Amino acid sequence: MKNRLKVLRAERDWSQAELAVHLDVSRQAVNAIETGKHDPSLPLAFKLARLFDLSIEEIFDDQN
Amino acid sequence: MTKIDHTRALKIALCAILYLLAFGIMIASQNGALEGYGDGTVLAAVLTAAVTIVVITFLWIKALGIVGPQEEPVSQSTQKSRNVLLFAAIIGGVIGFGFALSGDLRDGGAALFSNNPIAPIAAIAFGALFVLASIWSSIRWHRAADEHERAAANSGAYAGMLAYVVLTPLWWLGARASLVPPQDPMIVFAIVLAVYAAVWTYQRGD
Repeated sequence: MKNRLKVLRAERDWSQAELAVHLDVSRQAVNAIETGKHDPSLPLAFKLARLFDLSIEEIFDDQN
Repeated sequence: MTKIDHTRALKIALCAILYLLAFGIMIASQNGALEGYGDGTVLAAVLTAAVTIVVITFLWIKALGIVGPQEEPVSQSTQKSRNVLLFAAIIGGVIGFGFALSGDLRDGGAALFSNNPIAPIAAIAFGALFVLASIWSSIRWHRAADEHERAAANSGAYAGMLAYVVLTPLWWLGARASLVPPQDPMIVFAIVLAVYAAVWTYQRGD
């Protein structure tokens, strides 16, 4: 699933590891989500949305 | 569609093959001891294989990110899962080392990699420690790891199960037809474990 995670992370000048700490996951998990290899669960998607103060739809795009 | 990193897949597959090769050398050395080859030769082969296994294990652990540069921040869940894996590795090392010492030293001190008789007390003690430590660490790890890590481990477990389901009856049939030697459960165990670890490592990603 396509997402804007990399852009949102870059806007805050966070590394993958720093974002991983905010989400309490591994850096590999962040990398897998960013590259579309892993679709996050609903709880993790909500966590991301809250962290960036956006809705889930504004971060993830299931149309592609 | 997931993009496949062929170089990474190749490295992990190579690690798995080398692991099995080293394990095979250990067993072959044991058979060599039984068939009367010199103790020195057997011991050298066992030591070489043991060093190979340790090096490959280290590379694998490094690929999993358990050890290495710690400059980057690590989340609590990742740290907890690493601690559990480290605990499991230490217990595994203690069992392996103790098991090796519990055997007949004329066999090259590698009771772990043979089917030779061992003392009942050693079997009970190491068996109990293995069961308790593996169940405890598996439960703890699954609770500590994040969802991506768990998904990667589950993929590895599925692949390992598939390897077991295919390999066991195939070997059994082959042995009944005298095409291959009788089945050795520890070789099956090693192959299943290698497939599990390779798929887990690959799915986990960089």
